[in-house]
Amino acid sequence: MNDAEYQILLDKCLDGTATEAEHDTAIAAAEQAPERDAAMAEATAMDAALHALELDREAFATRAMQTVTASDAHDRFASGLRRRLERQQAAPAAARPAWARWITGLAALLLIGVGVLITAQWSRIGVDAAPRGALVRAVTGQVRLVHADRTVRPAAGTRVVAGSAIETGADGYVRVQYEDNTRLELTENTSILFERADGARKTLRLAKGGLLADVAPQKPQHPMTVSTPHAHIVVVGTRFRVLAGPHRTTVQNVTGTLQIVNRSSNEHRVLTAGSTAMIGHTTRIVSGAAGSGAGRVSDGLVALYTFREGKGTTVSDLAVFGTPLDLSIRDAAAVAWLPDGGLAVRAPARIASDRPARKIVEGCRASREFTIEAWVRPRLVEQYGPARIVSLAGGAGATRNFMLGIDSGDWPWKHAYVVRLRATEGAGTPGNPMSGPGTVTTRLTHVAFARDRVGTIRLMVNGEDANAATCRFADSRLQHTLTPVRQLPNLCSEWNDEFRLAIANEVGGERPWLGDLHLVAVYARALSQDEVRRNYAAGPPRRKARAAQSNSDS
Amino acid sequence: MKDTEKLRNLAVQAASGDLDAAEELFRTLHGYLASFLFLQGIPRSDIEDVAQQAAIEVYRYLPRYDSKRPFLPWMRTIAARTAGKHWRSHARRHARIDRFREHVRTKLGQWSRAGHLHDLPVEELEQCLGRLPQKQRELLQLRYRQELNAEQIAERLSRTSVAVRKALSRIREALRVCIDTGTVAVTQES
Repeated sequence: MNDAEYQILLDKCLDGTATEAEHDTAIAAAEQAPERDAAMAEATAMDAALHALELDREAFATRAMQTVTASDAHDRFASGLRRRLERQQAAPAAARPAWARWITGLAALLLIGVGVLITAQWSRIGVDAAPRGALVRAVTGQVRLVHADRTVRPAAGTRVVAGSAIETGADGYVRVQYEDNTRLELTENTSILFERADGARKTLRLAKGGLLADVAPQKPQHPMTVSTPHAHIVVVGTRFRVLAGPHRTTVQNVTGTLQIVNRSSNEHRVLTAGSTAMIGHTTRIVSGAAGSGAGRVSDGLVALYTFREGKGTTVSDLAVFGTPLDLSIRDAAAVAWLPDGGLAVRAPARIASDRPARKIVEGCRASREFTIEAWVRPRLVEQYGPARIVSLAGGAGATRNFMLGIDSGDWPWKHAYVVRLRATEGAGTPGNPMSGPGTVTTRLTHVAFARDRVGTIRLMVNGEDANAATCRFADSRLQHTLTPVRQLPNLCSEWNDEFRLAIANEVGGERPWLGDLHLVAVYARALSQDEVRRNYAAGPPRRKARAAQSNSDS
Repeated sequence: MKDTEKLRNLAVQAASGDLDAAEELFRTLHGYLASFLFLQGIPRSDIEDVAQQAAIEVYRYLPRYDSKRPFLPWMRTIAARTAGKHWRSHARRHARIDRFREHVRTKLGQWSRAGHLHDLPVEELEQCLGRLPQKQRELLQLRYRQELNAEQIAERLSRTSVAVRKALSRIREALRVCIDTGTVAVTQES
């Protein structure tokens, strides 16, 4: 690498557009040559100084002085008080009469008593490191602890006693730990009441939001209980997640077993490890319809639709991540539920979420990675637009976050799976990832697209690499025609979080797709080739399997 | 920024309770403190708050400052400690610092001993910026005031990102020369 190349690399590191590999290259180059190390020091110092010049110096000085003078006033008051006390101590005790010393002593005793009472009351909610009951271990973002009409912001070490409630805001997170090592993690927009928190008995009321619990073995006669608006969850010792939404509670059990009671139907169920239950006011417990499914990858899953509802106009999001993003079928006459599972789209239909798909955008922003996966059976190979299988966009125009569809335009877009996403130059229309021509058939097909944080993309059809720009197709012209487009560095950073998720069409109905849908999944990470193959090997979800595992669905 | 006698005198006066001197000290230190915190990897959105905390800490400890010793290294120690506290309390939020910034943080001590940071050129830089041609000042504003990266600037100015990076690099070099010599070298736009 010559000096000019090093300088460009350094500049990319400074403006935050370098990849991790480029960071490593720049660091290695600086470590090898002292003059490059010095150049890095000077460039970063200059860059920092230029940043600093854009800040408001006068506002800074004024604000700092306000703090200093305020604290200075306290200091002056404190030092004045100290001087007075020192003077009093220096005065000879004999100068005071005996009755005055008695009154002083009694007053001191009275003050101490009042102090003890106040401290005892205060310690019920204050900072106390005593390992009794539950203690807050970590707090970030907007969090408040409410107890007996008092509200405080908890910190590490704050004791949570019976009757306390913790509420988290949109960016809030709290970790609470009992003395038996039972850990609770509260995610954003959560409200939970600790009805009992004396260590021996743990009774929680989750009004809304998400709770991840890692429960140490409890005495069978004193199990831990979590109540939500829809269910009671009884735990003797396991690791599980609960998400209480306005319409249903989702419970995902990771290890051990849980007992679940549907508060509407009073139905009792045992939830085994790896299973997920969805409990609503009117819906049934759906045990065994795990968010991951047998053999499938579940890590990083942010949205999952398996189309096993069998009836109705709602497609449920089964992923235990954020608030469920259910889809509403607006043209019910255009679709039909398949007996073995799946949704047949027989005429142009609009199937979309009622709310913006923020959890997908936020999940992707956090990881800067993304995977979209689908099990589909196209009704026709000749579909144009491209015809949307899944779309997160404002409409059929170029403003989109991502889209997976099929196209039957002129070569090379003939019968190909096409992906467009806002991570490429030019809003992602020309030269986007696509499979080779002829990949679309009317057979049941597994298609997956993944992009990692350094911009590597992967498009796989039926477990095989199908990216026309990289894989070896019989038609060698593709190699020359499709130059992989340059990917923008920060995937999802500019994604619009107001877009709704749509399947089999755009939200406005401009790009219909016809065929059978068996699964649509979105991951906030790039699945590896092996993981995509694992999902392919697991096959499409079948309604029969659910019926077998959930024989009390009725 | 030079570790001048004036700076040390201001510190001594502020330590003795002279609030005017304290305000002047804060005003003088602001750019230096903020740029040092940038090097510590504090995100721009948090810089003002962390700089405030660091300034208050500096003020608290001023009575312990030995005026026979250099002021800026003493102040950097306090600012680094404040930055460390901020990192610990916001570790979750800022867990994704990139490797380059992490490397810069680990090298700060070494660079400081080598004299690269002793000369964080905030005050001189301000004077040199005024001597730049208008187009170059606009480019710097896009980069540092609007916080656009080279690719976003390139898109806005219909240039390539490589050309923008080269132009920014030349401007920074011209500013470096200006700080050293007091003159602005004429640079070619690409």
